Amino acid sequence: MKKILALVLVVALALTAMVSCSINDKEVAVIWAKQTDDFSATMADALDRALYIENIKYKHYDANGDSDAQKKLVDDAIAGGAPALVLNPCNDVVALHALKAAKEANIPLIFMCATGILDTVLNLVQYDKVYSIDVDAASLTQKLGERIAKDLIENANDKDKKNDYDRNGDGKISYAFTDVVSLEAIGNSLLVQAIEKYISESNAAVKPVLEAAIFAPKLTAGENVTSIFEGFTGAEGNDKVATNAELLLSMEDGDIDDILLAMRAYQLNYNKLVTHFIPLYTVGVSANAGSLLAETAKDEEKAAYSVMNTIDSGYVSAAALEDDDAMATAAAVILRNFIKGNEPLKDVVADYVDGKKISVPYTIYG
Amino acid sequence: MAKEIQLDENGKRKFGILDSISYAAGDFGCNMSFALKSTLIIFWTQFMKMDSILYALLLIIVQVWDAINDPLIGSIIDADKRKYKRNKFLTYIWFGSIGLLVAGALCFLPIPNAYDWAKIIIFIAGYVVWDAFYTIANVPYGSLLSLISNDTADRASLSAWRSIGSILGNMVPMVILPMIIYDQNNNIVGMNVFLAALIMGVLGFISFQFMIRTTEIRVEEDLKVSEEAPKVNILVAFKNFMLNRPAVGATLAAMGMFIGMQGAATAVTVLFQSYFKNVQVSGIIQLFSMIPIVIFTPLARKMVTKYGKKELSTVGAICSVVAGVLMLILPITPTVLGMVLYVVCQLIYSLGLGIYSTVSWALMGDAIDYNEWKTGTREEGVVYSLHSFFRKLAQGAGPSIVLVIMAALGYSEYHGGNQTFLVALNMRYLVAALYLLAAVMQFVGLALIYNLDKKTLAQMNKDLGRDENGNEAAAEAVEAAEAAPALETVSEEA
Repeated sequence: MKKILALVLVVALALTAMVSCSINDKEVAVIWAKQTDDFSATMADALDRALYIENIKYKHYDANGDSDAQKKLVDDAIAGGAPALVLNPCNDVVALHALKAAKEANIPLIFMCATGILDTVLNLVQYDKVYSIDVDAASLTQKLGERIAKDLIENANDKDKKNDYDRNGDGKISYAFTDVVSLEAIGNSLLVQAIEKYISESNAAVKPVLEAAIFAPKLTAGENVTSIFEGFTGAEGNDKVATNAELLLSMEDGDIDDILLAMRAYQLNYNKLVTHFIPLYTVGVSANAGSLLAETAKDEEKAAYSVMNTIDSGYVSAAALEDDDAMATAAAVILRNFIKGNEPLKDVVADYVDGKKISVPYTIYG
Repeated sequence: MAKEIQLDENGKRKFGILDSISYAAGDFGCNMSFALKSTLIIFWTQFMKMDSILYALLLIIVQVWDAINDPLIGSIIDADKRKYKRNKFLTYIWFGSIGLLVAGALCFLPIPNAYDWAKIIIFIAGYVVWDAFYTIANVPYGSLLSLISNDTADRASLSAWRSIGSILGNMVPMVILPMIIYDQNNNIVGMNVFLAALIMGVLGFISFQFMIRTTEIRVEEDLKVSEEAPKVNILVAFKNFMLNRPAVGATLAAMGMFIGMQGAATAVTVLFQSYFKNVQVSGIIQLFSMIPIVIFTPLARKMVTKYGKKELSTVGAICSVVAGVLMLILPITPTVLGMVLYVVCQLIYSLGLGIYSTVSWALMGDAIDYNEWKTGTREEGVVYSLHSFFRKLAQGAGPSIVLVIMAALGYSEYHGGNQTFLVALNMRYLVAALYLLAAVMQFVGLALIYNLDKKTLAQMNKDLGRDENGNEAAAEAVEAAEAAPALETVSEEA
C-alpha cells in the first residue's frame, strides 16, 4: 500500500513539474487604454482564454484612459523584462511611444483594436516585429446587410406577395435608424446599400423593397424610437403621420436597452405572447450592452446583460459582433511564435492577414 | 392463438421476465422524475436569476424537509389500514404517478421576471410538492419487491433489473437533456426545461402504469415501509456508531462520494458551458464515463471472493485518487485535446467508483456484524439509520456548499452560460478538487478506518459461528441489496 502511494506521489510530482512550465519565464504585458469599458473587458476575457491555451504567462495593466500613465506602463513593462507587449493604445502618441520602446528593446509589439494606428506609426518608425489585430470594418455592413436581406426575403410570402414584416401592407419595408440623424446619412448608409444589393442579386421570387422612414431625430436612441412611432409636428406646423417603421437598425449597441424600453411603451418586442415584434438589428461587442430585464438597475450585475442575451430572449433579431475569440487567438498565436522562434504568422488564419494587419471579420449572432 | 399464462401453485402468474421488466419500469419511472433534479441549480440561478447564496440556503431548507418527508410519508402509508382492491403499495404508486405528471414541472416554472419573494415561494412549494409525490411513489416501490416474490433468486433478479431500469432512467435523460435544454451559446433555455419536465412526467406516468398493471403480488404480507425507530438513546446510539470503525469508515466513504459527485455536478455543467463551451456534449461525456462501471459490475462477485471487499474497494478508491490527481495536474485546456484528457480522467475515476459502489452496501452489512462481534448486540436498525442519515446529509449539503464555493470563486448567475474565462478556469480546478476530495475521503474511510480486511472478516465470521462466506449473514446482505439498487448511481435517494 505504502509503495503504491509513494509511486503515485512521485509520478504526480513529476507530471506537475512537467506541465506547470509556461513557454515564457517573464510575463507578457497586456496594456489597456481602459480595461473596464465594455469592449476592453470582453477582449481581455478572450485573451485570458487564448493565452492560457498557448501556455503564455501574462499580466493585464489598465491605464484608465490616461495616455501618460499608459506610456509609463509601457516603460515599466519593458524595464521589467516583458518578452512582448500587447497594447490597446489610448491614442497614436502612446502607440508611437510604445513602438519606439519595443524597437529599442527588440521585443514584439501587438496593437489590439487600434484602427488605423499602425499605418500612422509605421510611417514614422520602421519596425519588423509589430502587428495590428482589429476587426474588419468593411465586413460589418456586408455581413449584417446580408443577414437582414435574408431575413426579409424569408419573410416574404410567395403566394400573396406580402411580407410578414410589411405591417401596413403598402408593399414596402419601412426602415429607420435609431442613431442616424440626417436624411443624407440615411441615404448614404452603406448598410442599407448592402441590404438592397443582396436582395437585388438574390433569386428570390418576391424581392422586398426598402423605404426610409422619416422621423424627427432626438438626442437619445430612446427618444428617436418615440419619434419613430409617434410621428412629429413639422417645422411649419404641419402634422406628419406616424411613420410606423417596420425595421429598426441601431449602429450603437449601448443604446439597445433604451431602445427596447422605449419600444415597450408601444407593446413592441417585449412580451412575446401579447406584443408585436419589429425586427431590430444592431452591432456590438460580444458582451455588456446594458440591462433589459432589470427594471431598475439596482445591482450592477443585473445591469450586465449583453446584446447576446437580448437576442437569446427574442427581443433583438440579430447583431454583428466582433469576433473577440478569433482576434485573441491570433494575438496568442503570434506571441507563441515569437517566443518559440517560429515564423510570426504561422498558424494564423491566412484570410485574416494583410501584411502586418490581421483583420478579423464580424460574426453574426442570432 | 394467445400464449398461455403459466400459473404457480397459488394460482398466481409464474415469476418470469415480465416481472423483472415490470419492476424495472418502476425505477425508470422514478428516474424520469429524478433525472432533472441535477438541473435545478443551473435553472434557478442562471435562468431564474436567483442569487446563488440565497439558493444555496433554500436548498439546505428543502433538503432538511426531504429528510422529514420520507419517514412522514412512510408512516402515513403504514398507518393506512384500508383494504385496496389492487394492493396498497400499488395504489400509492398510482397516486404518486398522477402527481408526478406535473409535480416535476412545478420545480421548473419559467418565470424569471417574477418578484424575488415569489420565486422563493414557488421554489419551496414546487419542491415540497414534487418531493411528496416522488416519495409516495418511490417508497412503496422499494418495498414492493418483497411482495412480488419470496424466492431469493427471484428477488436478486428483481434487484438487478431495478438497476437496469435505474441505468436507463439515468442514461437517457443524461444524454438527451443537454441537447435540448441548452442553446447554441450554452445558455439554459428555461421553457425547454419546463417542457422537458412535463414530457418526462408523462413518460414516467406511462412507465408506472405499465408497472402497476403487470405487477403480480404473490406474497400477502402486511409490510411496513417506514422503519420503526428503535427506542434508543440517540446519544448512546451515536456513540456506539462512532466506536464502530467499519461503520464509520464505510459511511465516510459514502459521504465522500456524495459530496464530491453530487456537489460537483453543477460545477461540471458550468465547466462544459463556459470552459469547453460545449454543454450539449456533456451528457455524452458523462455517459461515456459510465462504461467502466457497466463493465466491472458483472465481475464484482468473483473479484470480491478472490480479494475481499475492503481490499477491492480500497483499490477502487486509489484508482479514483489517481484520477483526481491527474485531473488536477494534467493540461486540461479548453480545447479538443483538453476534453479528451478530461474524459480519460473521468473513465479512470468511474472505474474506481464502480469498484467501490458494487460493494458499498455489503460493507455496511459487515459493519453490523462487527458490532455484534465486538459488543454482542446487533443494532442493525440504528446503524443503518445513522448511515442513511449521514448519506442524506452529504447528499443535501454537498450541492449547497459547493454552490457557495462557486460563488466565492466568481460564479455569477447573471452571466449564465458565459462566465468569464477566469471563473471558468476556477470551475475547472474546482471540479478536479471535488473529485479528488471525494476520492480521498473514500480512501481514508476504506483503507485507514474500515478495518475488516479479508483475514479479519474470516475471523469475525468464525467467531460468530458463520462460514467463511458469512452465510448466516447472507439473508441480511440480500435484504440490504434489495433495499437499494445494486448499482450505486448519483441519483440515489436513500
